[in-house]
Amino acid sequence: MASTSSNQETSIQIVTSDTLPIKGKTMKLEDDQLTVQVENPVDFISLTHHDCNLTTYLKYQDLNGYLNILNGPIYENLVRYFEVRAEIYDQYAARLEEHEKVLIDPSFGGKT
Amino acid sequence: MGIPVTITEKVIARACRREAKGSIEENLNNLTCPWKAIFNKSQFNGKKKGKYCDMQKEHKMLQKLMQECFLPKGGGVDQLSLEHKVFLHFFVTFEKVNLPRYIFHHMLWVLKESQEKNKSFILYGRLLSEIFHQGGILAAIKLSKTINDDQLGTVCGKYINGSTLKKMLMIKKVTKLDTDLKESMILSNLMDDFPPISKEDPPEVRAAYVYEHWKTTREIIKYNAIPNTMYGAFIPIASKKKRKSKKTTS
Repeated sequence: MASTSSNQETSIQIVTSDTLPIKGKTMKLEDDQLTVQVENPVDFISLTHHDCNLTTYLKYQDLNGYLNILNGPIYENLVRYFEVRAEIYDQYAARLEEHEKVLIDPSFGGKT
Repeated sequence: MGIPVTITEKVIARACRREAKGSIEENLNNLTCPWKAIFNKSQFNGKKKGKYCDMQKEHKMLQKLMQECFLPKGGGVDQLSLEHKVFLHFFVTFEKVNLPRYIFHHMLWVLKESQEKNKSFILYGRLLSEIFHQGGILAAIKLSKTINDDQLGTVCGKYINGSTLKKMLMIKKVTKLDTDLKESMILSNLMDDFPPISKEDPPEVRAAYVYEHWKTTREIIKYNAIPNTMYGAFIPIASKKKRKSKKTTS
């Protein structure tokens, strides 16, 4: 697959000049304590054959792309490794904090 | 070396191949908002205390799909939360939902639950795997040739098909079709060009395959490149059972 263009799309930078340290964990749980819930792929031909036609509902929602990617492998350990190190960045909260800091000391204004 | 991965609503939308547009209802209050009555109207023809068995067959299946694919929740599949009910209402009444945003919010909710309350489940295993794949992490792993599928814990999901309908007691007999999709058709991204022969095959078979391959691609498969045994069968199906947690000494 074309890697260079998709790298930018998904915000994953594999080739960089920086030295990237391995991030610390952000939760108390260990990798192997987590259970990965797996989305189940759907066989619509079989469902339609048994008188359960959902295509009108799903076509309207434009979900073909999403349902297609469900037909694929899940790398559980990779997902676990990512999840225990994941961090939530709340843009709104960060901006609010910045705003408060500037109110307390106006000399912070404009600094990053 | 670590690889920084950023996941936003846009990234999810791109992975789903769908725009992040449509309706979404957040932070619903069970007591004050009018959605409960609206849901009862669309699902149970206005009955106040509608039951699952009153629902149409298609709606039951949509609910199943919602709980398995779109907004999975850790644990049982008994009572629907109000957010799930509204989501289902949008589906049934043909109102476009903002699925990427729903998924993003759901993902954050689960992450917060694990970080703050030590809940031990992760949702959207497949979507995250797809995001990693699109970002080229799988390609990098494949290039390094040091990690195999066993170490990555590669699994696949179980298909929702006619047998699922039978388990949900909606039909009595399942007919098998030639077009039925099977879990064994799902291949790992690590083995795109794996030769379908092994050293266990008779020499004539190997020679014939190598010759055919040379005829079509003008590439010779060297003896060393042929694996000793056939690739480790198929990807196992993910089990829903909780993993036994190891006791930590601290």
